[in-house]
Amino acid sequence: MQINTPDKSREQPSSTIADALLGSCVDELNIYNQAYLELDRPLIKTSVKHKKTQFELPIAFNIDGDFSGSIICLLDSYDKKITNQEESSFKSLYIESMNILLGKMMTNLENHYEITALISEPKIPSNESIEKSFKSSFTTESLSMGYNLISNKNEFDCRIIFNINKKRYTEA
Amino acid sequence: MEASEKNQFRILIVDDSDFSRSNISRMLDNPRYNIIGEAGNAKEAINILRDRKAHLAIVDVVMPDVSGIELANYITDNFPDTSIIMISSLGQESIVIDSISAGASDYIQKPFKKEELITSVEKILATIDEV
Repeated sequence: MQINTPDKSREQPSSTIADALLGSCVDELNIYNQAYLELDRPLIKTSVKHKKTQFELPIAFNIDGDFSGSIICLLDSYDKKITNQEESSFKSLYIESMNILLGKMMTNLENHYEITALISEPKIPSNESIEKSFKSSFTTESLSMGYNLISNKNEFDCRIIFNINKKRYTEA
Repeated sequence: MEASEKNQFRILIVDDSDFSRSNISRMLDNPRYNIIGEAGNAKEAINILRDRKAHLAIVDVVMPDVSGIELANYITDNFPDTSIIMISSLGQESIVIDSISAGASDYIQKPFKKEELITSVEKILATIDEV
């Protein structure tokens, strides 16, 4: 008798994905001794998303694999002194730090939960696309967490929002 | 005494992150190594390789337009004397396998330590007969 084994990862209820993402978070990460990321607020489901402020630097990644969606990272630069000369290198450090953090999480997700998802290269989203993704609650489930990015004695608050498509779960 | 350019290992760094490229370049700041170029995408990398022969290309996996794995395939086919180390923030098994299948000799997950990179580079360069 042949038993067809279902692709379990595609049948995960979204709560399981959320639990797995929570379990895949890293508490702290050393970014080449040039910056440190420290978990500030653990991953939680969120229905209320605060609007992006003018001081928040956005960066976005797409996720695809056993589940799909997008990740928006917002670094709060309010009241931080970053000179024009430092701005470009700081942005690059911030973007790569988010890339490394999320890459590590996706790797943990596969190693610990057998859920495979890859992230895209980072993209700078428009304010409109951020607002749109914040509003699409019928099709996506949102999860939010916070990290502190510590660099050059400055501490920046980063909120990271996962918008996970619900459709993929029901299709499986 | 500094090694002459003739005796140096020529290395190309390919990564869409400025921060990552400059970091790797700093890690490889050694008279034995000659960083022949830094490329932010596959097209720039191929242009550099057409101009200057490289012993080694350090290639990021996730890049816009053409992925690092596609670039590794191209390098393997068109620049067979150039060895490849793949780097990425992702460490999933399928990506490592795809990278090795594309011709990479090693795969290092970000963030890595300087010693880790140097060990990988030296292991590959030890297999090169002449510089």
